[in-house]
Amino acid sequence: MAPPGTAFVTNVGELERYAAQLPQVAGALRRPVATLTEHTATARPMEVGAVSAMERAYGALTEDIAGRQRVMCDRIDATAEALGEIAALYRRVDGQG
Amino acid sequence: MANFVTDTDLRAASFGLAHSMLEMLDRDGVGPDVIGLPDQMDVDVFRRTFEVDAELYMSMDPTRLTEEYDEIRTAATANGASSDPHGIVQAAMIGLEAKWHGAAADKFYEQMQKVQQRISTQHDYTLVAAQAVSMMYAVNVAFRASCYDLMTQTAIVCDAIADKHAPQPTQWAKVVVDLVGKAIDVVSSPKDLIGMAIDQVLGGVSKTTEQEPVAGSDAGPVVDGYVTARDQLFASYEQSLNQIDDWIGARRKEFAGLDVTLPEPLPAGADVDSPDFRYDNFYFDQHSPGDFAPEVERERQRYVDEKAKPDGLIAQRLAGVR
Repeated sequence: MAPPGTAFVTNVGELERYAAQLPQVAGALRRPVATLTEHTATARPMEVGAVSAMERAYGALTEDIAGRQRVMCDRIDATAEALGEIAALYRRVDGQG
Repeated sequence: MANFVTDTDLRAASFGLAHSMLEMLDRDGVGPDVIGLPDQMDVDVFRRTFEVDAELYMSMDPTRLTEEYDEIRTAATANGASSDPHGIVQAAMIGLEAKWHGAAADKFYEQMQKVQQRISTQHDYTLVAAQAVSMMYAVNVAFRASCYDLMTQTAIVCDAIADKHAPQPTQWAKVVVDLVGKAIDVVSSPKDLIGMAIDQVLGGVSKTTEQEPVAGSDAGPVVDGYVTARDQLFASYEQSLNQIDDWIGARRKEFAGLDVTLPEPLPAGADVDSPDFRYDNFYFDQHSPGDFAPEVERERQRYVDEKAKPDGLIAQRLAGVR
């Protein structure tokens, strides 16, 4: 049994704040993904094999960076959700949920 | 005004060289088709050959590369150490470490730590991509200038021979082969690129060319000399592009090796829905883990049950029903 006067209320608010802010972090970090994956092709009068190969390598690198960025954002969202659920649970324990 | 030899400049140089070389060969009584009777088609094909030489260096667009470089740097800034995401994660990390304890709280703290480190890694490698673009730019701009110089200086020699006077010793600026190595060295850390315009990268590359005489003082040797120089220049261009390709491949491997630093899925003990979640996994600093354990487990079970019921209060909230 919890001792009197030891409710969660103040500090659960802090957890709720993290849970609310972290999806904003994920959202901000998702914004550069489009830049990393969209490359404007320009018309060129002559194809050079070495240029095409190098551009493919560059596209693969930026795609890798974007892919890891997406994974990071998904994990941040999942972390925020888990924190939010803990906060909701503890509010219920306080009788406020 | 562009800081590089444009497509228009290159095309004009190729037309100028074709014209001067035709004049020179004509004075020698040699047409562009030395086997049959020269006609307009032969002249057109001859001119087109030089245009193609120039077009090889139009295979990349310095203006577009500059835009790409700036866009990628902007993307990197979103992940910068001073950006909002970094600050929010830092605050969460400090708060969790100070006030919440237990195995799950430690996992949340570690997760925030990993996110923070990973934001830095993403920042660094986004700038590596910007560095690759800066190298493409440096190579393309340097080879455009070299091709332009070869064509215009060769045309001067052709004009002199066509005017029947001995050409002055003439030189053109040939790109040195390790231009890519120099472009890599000029960026001591990709982080430096945040404050560097793409032309600063190019400007920092010391001595990218060496002077090479235009070969020949007579029509035949001048044509042969041009063909040899043109082929060598293009081979150097391809070699430089291959070096950048290899450099990008090596950075990509390094980056893949850092996957261990990605935030991982949280364990079941951090998930309220899981029976593995217990209060002592995530308890408040001023509580004893045992204080709230029974209440937390009872409420957790109710919470999970309500979520599971399609018409439960939480399920309704999740479904947007008020």
